[in-house]
Amino acid sequence: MITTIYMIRKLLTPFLFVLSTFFFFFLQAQEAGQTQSFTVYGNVVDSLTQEPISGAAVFLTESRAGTYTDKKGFYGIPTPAGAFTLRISYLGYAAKVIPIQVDKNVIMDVVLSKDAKFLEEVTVISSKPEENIRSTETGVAQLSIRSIRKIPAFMGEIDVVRSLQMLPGVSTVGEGATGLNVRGGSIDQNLVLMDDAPVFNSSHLFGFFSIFNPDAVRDVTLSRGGVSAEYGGRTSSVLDVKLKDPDLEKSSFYGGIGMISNRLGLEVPLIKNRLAILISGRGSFNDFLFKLGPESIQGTVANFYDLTGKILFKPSEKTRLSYTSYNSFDAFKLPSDSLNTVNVNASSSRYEYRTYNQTLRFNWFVSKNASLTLTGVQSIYKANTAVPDSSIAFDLSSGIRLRALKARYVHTGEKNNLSFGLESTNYQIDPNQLVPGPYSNILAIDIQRELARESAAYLENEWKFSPQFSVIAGLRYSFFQRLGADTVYRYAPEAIRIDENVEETQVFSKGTASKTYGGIEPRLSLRYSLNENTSIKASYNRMRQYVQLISNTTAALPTARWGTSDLNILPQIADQVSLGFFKNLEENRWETSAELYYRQSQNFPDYRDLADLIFSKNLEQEIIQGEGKAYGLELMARKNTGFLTGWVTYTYARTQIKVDPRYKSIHNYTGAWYPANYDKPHTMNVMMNYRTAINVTLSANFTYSTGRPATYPYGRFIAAGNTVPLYPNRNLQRIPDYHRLDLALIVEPNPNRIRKWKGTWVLSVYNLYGRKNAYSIYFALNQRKQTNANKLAIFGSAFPSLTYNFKF
Amino acid sequence: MNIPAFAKLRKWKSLCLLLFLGASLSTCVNPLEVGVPDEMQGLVVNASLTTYPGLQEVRLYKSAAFTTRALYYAVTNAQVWVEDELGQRQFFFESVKNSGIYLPQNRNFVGEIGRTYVLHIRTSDNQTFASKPEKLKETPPIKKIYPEAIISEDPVSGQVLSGYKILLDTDDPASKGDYYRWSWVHYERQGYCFTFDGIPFGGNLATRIGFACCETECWDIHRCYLNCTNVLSDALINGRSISRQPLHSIPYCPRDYYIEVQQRSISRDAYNYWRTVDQLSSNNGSIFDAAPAAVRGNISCTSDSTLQVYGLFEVADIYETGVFIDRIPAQFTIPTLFTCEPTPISANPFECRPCVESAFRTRIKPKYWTK
Repeated sequence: MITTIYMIRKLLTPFLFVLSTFFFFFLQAQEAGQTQSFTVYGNVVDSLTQEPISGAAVFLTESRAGTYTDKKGFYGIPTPAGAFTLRISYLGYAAKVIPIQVDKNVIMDVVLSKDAKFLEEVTVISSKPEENIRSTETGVAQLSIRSIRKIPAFMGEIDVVRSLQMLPGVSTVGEGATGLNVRGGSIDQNLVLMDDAPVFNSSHLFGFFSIFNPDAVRDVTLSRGGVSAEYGGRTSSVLDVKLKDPDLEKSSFYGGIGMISNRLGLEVPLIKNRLAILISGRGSFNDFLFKLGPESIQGTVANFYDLTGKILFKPSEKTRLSYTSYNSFDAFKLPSDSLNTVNVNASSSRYEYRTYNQTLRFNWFVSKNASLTLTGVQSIYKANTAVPDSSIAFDLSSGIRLRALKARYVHTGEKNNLSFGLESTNYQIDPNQLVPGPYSNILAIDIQRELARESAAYLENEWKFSPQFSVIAGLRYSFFQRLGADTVYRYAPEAIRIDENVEETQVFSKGTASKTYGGIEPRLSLRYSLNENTSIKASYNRMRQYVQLISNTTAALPTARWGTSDLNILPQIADQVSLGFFKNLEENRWETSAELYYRQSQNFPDYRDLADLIFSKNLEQEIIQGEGKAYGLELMARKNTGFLTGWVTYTYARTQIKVDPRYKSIHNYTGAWYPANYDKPHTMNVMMNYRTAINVTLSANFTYSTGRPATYPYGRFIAAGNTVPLYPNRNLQRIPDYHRLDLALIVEPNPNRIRKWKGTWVLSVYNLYGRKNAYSIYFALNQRKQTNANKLAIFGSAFPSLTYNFKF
Repeated sequence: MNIPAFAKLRKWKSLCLLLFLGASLSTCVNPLEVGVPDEMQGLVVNASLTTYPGLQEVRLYKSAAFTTRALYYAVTNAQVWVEDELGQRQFFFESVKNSGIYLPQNRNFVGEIGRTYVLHIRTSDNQTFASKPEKLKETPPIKKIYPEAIISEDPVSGQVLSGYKILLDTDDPASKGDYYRWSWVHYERQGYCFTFDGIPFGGNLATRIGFACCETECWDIHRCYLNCTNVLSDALINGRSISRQPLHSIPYCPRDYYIEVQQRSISRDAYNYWRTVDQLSSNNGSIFDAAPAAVRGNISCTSDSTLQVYGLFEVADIYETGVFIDRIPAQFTIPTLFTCEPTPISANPFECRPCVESAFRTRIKPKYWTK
């Protein structure tokens, strides 16, 4: 333990020295540049939600000096003394004009309210439209919950994760599959954060719905290109889901009634402008309806609920304390199935899983352009499988607990935006514990607990050299320790990891590090604007991943275990370069972009044939680490304003894996590249919102993608009466292409009529033309007949749904 | 909104959910043309060496293309022999009746516990194949074979006794790394050896109208044809008793049910082979399926490593036993659901036919038949 701390200190000291020196000179430069005597500063917030408005234009009309508010809604304008008119405007809001007298530093907080006249301007993206030209980052997409609500939803369930699938570079292996595949990454290569707390499974009911309650979400940011040095630990992307802050001024009560789930939410200010609370719950308890169905589904249980709570405390204008708690639960039981991989045949298994996340965050606005954020996070994910049959009764549980502390300092300036921070994360993974039932003959299994710590320090600065040219350069150093107690096998060098090649067993006592890994992760983004409406951007990142989801099925099961790197399992490393071209037309009415990327991964996980991922005590024997490569082109055109808004995207993306030929005896296809399960070369999405009246929106989305890879058998033989298919390759065939059209009609209350109760009707039809998209392809194995492929479509018809949402 | 409106909504919602359920149940399965190359030709070896006389056999044929009708090309005129670690060879010769099936020269040849055997094959095109050395391990005796009632839900009668599970108990030795495979054969005594079809009086459809009795005693043979890859590793139960291992499920019929069960001690390779066979034949293409795997047996081509060989040389000690399963419940607490073979009572005692020996019928009394 002491040595560990010593090592961290030893590693971090030079880094911190560089960091502090850098910061010192930076501040000096800032001070020297200031010639004005006073500053007008403050925050711009939305009148209803109290959310900060970022990107609002703030102008002093007389001096023609102006700025935009930052991500926190903050602005600051240096000015000489005198009388001025301050003008604040933002798309969709009524502009405000405030006369001010400057003879000292002036604090001017501004509340903007939505302008009913501007309601036809459905802002697709919550940031301002020219942001894509002016910001230095590439591959970042932000969706506000307002625009997510406009996307037609399956069974009327507004779904954050599903909505992201409409963006370029984002895909999934199939309807009902959990998670997202971003730019050729697997689902566990995305860092999914809900108010800073990592989420280990973002799906309800095996993947039909996502766990984010739309009533509690503020906005969603997906970074798939230039990922900020602030984030690390995953190699593909960062999905940052920010929850709403409770309203500090007035209470509200809202909810919705849908065919799958019902929602209720409440926001109450406990002390006006100081302390407020948000509670929002969602639950599906409709599975009693299965009892009305035919016998085969009567025993089915499929329930979920989630509860989101947030407390916001603002003791002063300069400090804020918030606490978020999220709790979700899923239960799924099929009347009869068998858990083949556990080698027991059960008449029914019950799956349960839960997420319990907590975030405590403290913000201190040190000065008008500097802030310090301290965050403490705990994420718990538990999965459980229970089989009731007496002789083989068992209870199989696994869990992962993450505890993290983070500190982040941000300084924003005219020419520089500096941020740096430190973080430390502790993992405790209980891989799988099997507890037999009272009359069961099965032996109890308790796989050794995995303990690990991941620490990181980062420093990032954005230089705005000129209006044309800006650079973000960041450096992250991550350091990983796998901690004892641990028993580790050492294998003969270069040998495949099987029991026969074990050379020695090493035992590590509690607290000692059995293996450490570390390395720098450079991040770089460049922007060069050719003119006001056109820019070219490039980025490079290296990301390291020390924790992964252990799953060899096409779509991961919610009960799949997590594992960390260790002596034998190396951390995944991915390097991505991307190049983007961005052009806005007709005064930002149209945005277009083209982005190219190439990503190379080391130690990309694959698995040996018939890997035992549930009970393996030596996971390194099941995992084969190969090479991965992903590349693609993403095109997007988006219309931001007018009665008709929306976007069209086209993505060409490839993801391939290669396994070294020395694994030939344990892997069925080695030495050649083969497509990953989620490799879908062509994807096209069209999303349109048409506002027919002030309160009626008609929205449609269309999606087309190449079918996912599949492995078809080339030959067969009979063994003990079973037809055995022969698979000479992996993923070299494809299931049929996928396409679907959805429609939604949203009727909102008329904004011109002031009423306390606001009800919204959402009528949506999923898969309007009833395309029987292939969910899976299987072969009927009949010895006596010709064997043909069969296509199973489970979403094979149009699914209409009606949802009613209310607020007062 | 007032309360009745909520109630109305709820009512409407249940209706919609039913519609949803209805829709989801109408999930459809359609045949699909997929282009699968028909190029997988390989040698398939199904070979077994046991401690029971008459069970030693080697079957050789070519694997079939997946999407074509099953056509098995027997591999004939091969030289086949088994060699133990002392260098003793037992040659196998192709059966005259069944091409592709090779039987030992000495019909009473059996494997010995503790010996290690290697299977050698030389095909007519002079390719040579050999198995890994396989050690014959002793299997513990079967302790008990017994039935357990299957109670199911009947739409009309509610809970009914519809059948029995046949379960098995045995003691696993203290050693680690024991692997088992079970197989079964069921014999049913036949009361008739021939059936007549005809047009009954007043009817117009040909139906079964009569049965002819058997000249000798006669049994129908039912083997496990599908999903006979019943294997178990002692990894989870090492040293304890294996109990309630499911063997077979049988329908309810108030008659004794005769079954012969073989318990084999197999090698780790064989266990993995059968598990692969089981998993590959039960994968149904769903997104929760495990990645496809190669079927690795224990035989390889020694003359050309690129030639594909599938199948297994299974070396096993066998413990065999036969029992009558009592299918009459001790007390009739719930209704029962009959599924019986046609009753032979009406067989014509004056017109008897011979019991023709085949793979499905025999005159020979089963080994453990005591009645």
